[in-house]
Amino acid sequence: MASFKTKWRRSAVAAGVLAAALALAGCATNNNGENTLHPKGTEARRILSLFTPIFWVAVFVGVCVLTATLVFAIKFRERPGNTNPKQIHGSTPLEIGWTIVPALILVVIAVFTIKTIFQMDRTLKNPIEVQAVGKQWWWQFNTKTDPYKVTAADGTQTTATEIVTANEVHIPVGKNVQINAQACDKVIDAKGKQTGLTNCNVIHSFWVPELNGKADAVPGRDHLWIIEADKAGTYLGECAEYCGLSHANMHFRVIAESPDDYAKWVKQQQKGPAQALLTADNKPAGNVQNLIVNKFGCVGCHVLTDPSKYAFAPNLTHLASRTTFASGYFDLYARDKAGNPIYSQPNTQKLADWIYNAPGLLPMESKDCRLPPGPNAPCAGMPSFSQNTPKGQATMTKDEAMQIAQYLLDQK
Amino acid sequence: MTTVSDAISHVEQPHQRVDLLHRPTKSTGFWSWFTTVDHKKIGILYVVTAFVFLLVGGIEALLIRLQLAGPNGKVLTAAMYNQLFTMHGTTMVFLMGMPLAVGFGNYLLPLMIGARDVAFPRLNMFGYWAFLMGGLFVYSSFLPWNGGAPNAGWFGYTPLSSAPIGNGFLPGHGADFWAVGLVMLGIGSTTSAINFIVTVLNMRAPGMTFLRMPVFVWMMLVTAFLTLFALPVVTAALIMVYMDRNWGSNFFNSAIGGDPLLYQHLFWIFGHPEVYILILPGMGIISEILPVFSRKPLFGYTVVIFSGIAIGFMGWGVWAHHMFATGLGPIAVSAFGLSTMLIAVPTGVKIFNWLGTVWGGAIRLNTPMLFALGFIAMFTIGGLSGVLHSVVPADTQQTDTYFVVAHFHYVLFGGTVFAFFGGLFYWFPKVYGRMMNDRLGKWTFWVLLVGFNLTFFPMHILGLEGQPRRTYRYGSGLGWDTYNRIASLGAFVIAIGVLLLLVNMVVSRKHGQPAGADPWDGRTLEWSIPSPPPEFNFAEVPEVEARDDWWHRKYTEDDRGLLVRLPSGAAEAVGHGDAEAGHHIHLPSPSYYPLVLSIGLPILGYAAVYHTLWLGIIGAIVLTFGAYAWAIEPPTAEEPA
Repeated sequence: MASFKTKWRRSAVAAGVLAAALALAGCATNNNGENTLHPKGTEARRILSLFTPIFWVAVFVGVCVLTATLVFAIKFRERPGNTNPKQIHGSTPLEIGWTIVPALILVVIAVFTIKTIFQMDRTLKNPIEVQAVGKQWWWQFNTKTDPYKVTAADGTQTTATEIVTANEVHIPVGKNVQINAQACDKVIDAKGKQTGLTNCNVIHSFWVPELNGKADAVPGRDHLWIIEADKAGTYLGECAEYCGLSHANMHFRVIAESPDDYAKWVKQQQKGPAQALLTADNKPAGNVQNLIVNKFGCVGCHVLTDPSKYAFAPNLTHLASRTTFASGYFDLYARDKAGNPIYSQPNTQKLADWIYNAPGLLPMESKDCRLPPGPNAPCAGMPSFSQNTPKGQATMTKDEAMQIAQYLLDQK
Repeated sequence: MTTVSDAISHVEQPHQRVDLLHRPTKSTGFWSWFTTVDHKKIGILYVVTAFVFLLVGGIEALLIRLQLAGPNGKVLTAAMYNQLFTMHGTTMVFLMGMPLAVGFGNYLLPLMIGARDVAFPRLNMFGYWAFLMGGLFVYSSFLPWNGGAPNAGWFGYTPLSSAPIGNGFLPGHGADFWAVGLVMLGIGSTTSAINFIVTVLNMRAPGMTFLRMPVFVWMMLVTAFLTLFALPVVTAALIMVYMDRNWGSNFFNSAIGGDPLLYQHLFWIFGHPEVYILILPGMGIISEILPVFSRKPLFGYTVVIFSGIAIGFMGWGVWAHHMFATGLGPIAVSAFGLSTMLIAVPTGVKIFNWLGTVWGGAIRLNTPMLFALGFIAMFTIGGLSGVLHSVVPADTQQTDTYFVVAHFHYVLFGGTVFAFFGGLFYWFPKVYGRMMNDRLGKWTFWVLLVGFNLTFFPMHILGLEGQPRRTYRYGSGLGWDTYNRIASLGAFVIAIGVLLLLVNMVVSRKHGQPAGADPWDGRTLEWSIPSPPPEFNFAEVPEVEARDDWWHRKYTEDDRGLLVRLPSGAAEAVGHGDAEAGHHIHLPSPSYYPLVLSIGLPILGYAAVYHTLWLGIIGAIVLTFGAYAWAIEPPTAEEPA
């Protein structure tokens, strides 16, 4: 019996070490900007504080069962003096016990789980509203703002109520932001009313691990989801639902800033383009503009002059105000040691490479994308302008790509 | 001696025999494997084929782990990676897990219930051929001219999988091969499920009442019912995917009123019972192994049985826990969170009963027992991380991350595969009359246990640290490098373990220690007959008098509940029946037609993928010929006069 006790002690020590290792693993996890164990906002913190105690209950039960398995296997092994065990067929009190005890533990877990579900599913009063629209393979963010005026090249003015960005969205610190995860664009009639959906994509999932769990963007559905950040900073997001070839490269960023900075950002985004693309009679305003409008038809998929419009591909009106491009995969500017962009050092060459031959940098399903584009064009992603050029379309030179990149980097 | 088949052939005597093909007669030799209707040979075919697919799926996993061994891996392209993770999942679920269970069931069910064959021998063979043809069909998509393997994930979410090819969401024919191939596999699984159900319900030996049946038989019965009811749902969903993709039927096209989420509901109404289809046979296997190697009856037999049945029923009410991030609304997710917690109760009860079985036993730590104990430990970890998923808000963080990958590998590898490997060591001597090497087996177990935990334990942490699934690469500087490297290392340790197992099986088949009829001092009827069993299984159909009938022919209990060996002889009675008796037992005759019929399936499959009418006509002709000839062929050939 003494030897059994030492063995039991040994097993207990082993179990303790295992538990400690687990605890260590939990604490020593890194600060990578997308760690669910390092919540940076109300919702994510709510989830972690629900998860943590339940996790430890699970660890406790697991350690008990594993220890029992190990101890029984050693203690009751066949040896001289233990070859003829008592034949036990069962025990009703034990069966009832180990049915009821786990059930009671689960009831407690259930109470807290359901409480949290309903706490998180609440309606916000006057929230900042952002539509997060998943595309293959980038995110479009339509942020609702106060009405503002947009002036077209020919001077006509329209009123807009949202600003459209790609792969980066700004939010004010400490304020609840209502995300609406979607996979289709709205169809808006002349009066500004939504009449339907278009350009429906596959399912994606909006996930900023340090701010909240995942919200799938399902075609044809609205999915309301709250995020809030305690502190200014950049929070990494990932598409978390497999969405085809380049799913792994579908990153995005939530940039939280002080309410003042946020208001400044909104004002800046509401401005028209820094440089005119078209003249008043809708002709390209210069050489590089001619490349963009006519020679390579960039405007067939991208919007470059109107912060409130969306099309098949990202709105580039204020591209230079972002920190990344190509669905958050490449930095648009060099970064300092703290990771902040140095706006005086743009990554022009990389942007030019991307314009020149995007499928050479990230996997794309875009072989046929230079044919007349549209919502049902058989393509996903940015096409190459230097390779596989279809008949009747121009092939880009590296110099032309560079010119376009420089033009875009002037679009602050 | 009169048997059922005797009776049948008497009834059919006056009819004219129709043999469109000359009926095969051989029951041994290479070609007999193509025409056999012997449940034991079919069982071996299933297990061997499933094992080959296990190796193929394992190689896919190794490639995946090579790619993920470090940040920004360059071993695979995104397109290749997406095909490999899709095929790894599809293979391990449909081509390894399910057929391995069907193989074990095929071999063992008749032996365990004291029957001479299954209820529908030719249908049984057809089930195997449909499985093989379905598997080869799906894998043929890798051939260069087919333009790429399935790449929509094993779950094939719409509209990614279902949007017309021209939309560009998912170019290539991969998703078509996947949808059509899975329908084929479903046909095979459905026939084997029907066969198992009828066999267990109708062909038990006299005295083999329901509550005397071995737990493995019970769990296979529950599994067969789950298969029978779950597969039609996914078959319908797959046909809808095929029609959306190829014929523009728009079931899942939200732009004109279809609903992509409908597919997820259909898939998981199949998919969650599918999880239990994969785990219940494993639970059955370890419920056989634990008592034998503890020299004690299973603790709480009826509770274990009823827990299995409860899991079978409750498994239908938890599907939406795969969809907690889709925005179902607070009431729906609360309900499915609760039902998911509830299903943990009967699962926990089983674990406690297994521990109760081991407690106070005289445990022999042979390889099967090590795997069974490993099952308890690893499955418990997987079960507990499953409970964490029922905590809905937490699941919105965990779902689609490596935490989930860790969870279901603990259930399906640490659980199902460990149980199957234990079962291989346990029943191998029955099948081949020779023992597998126990020393090498113990090494295999420890190598697998270490490799398994190295691979999958770090994935819990990776998932919580934000690493999403189904991504062909991850950036450096996210702190995921070390754990991923450990996981990749572990995958190769697992590969060594599987190789050891393979070598052990191949060598032991010819050179293992002779086993005798009952090498483990077993409890159930299969140990009462010679190893390997004669073609007719039982010279004399046993009269069953107790649960663990064979054990009770060997032992009885005294007043203190201790074992007393009965005078030998009682035990011999069943085992060595009159060998001559075999000559008078009529068994169903071999047949070509299950194979012919199943050859029609992939031909039709290719016609469906490539919209080739003439190929469809050929396929239909082959199929019709096989079915018609089968229908008019009597189950048992005339004996030569």
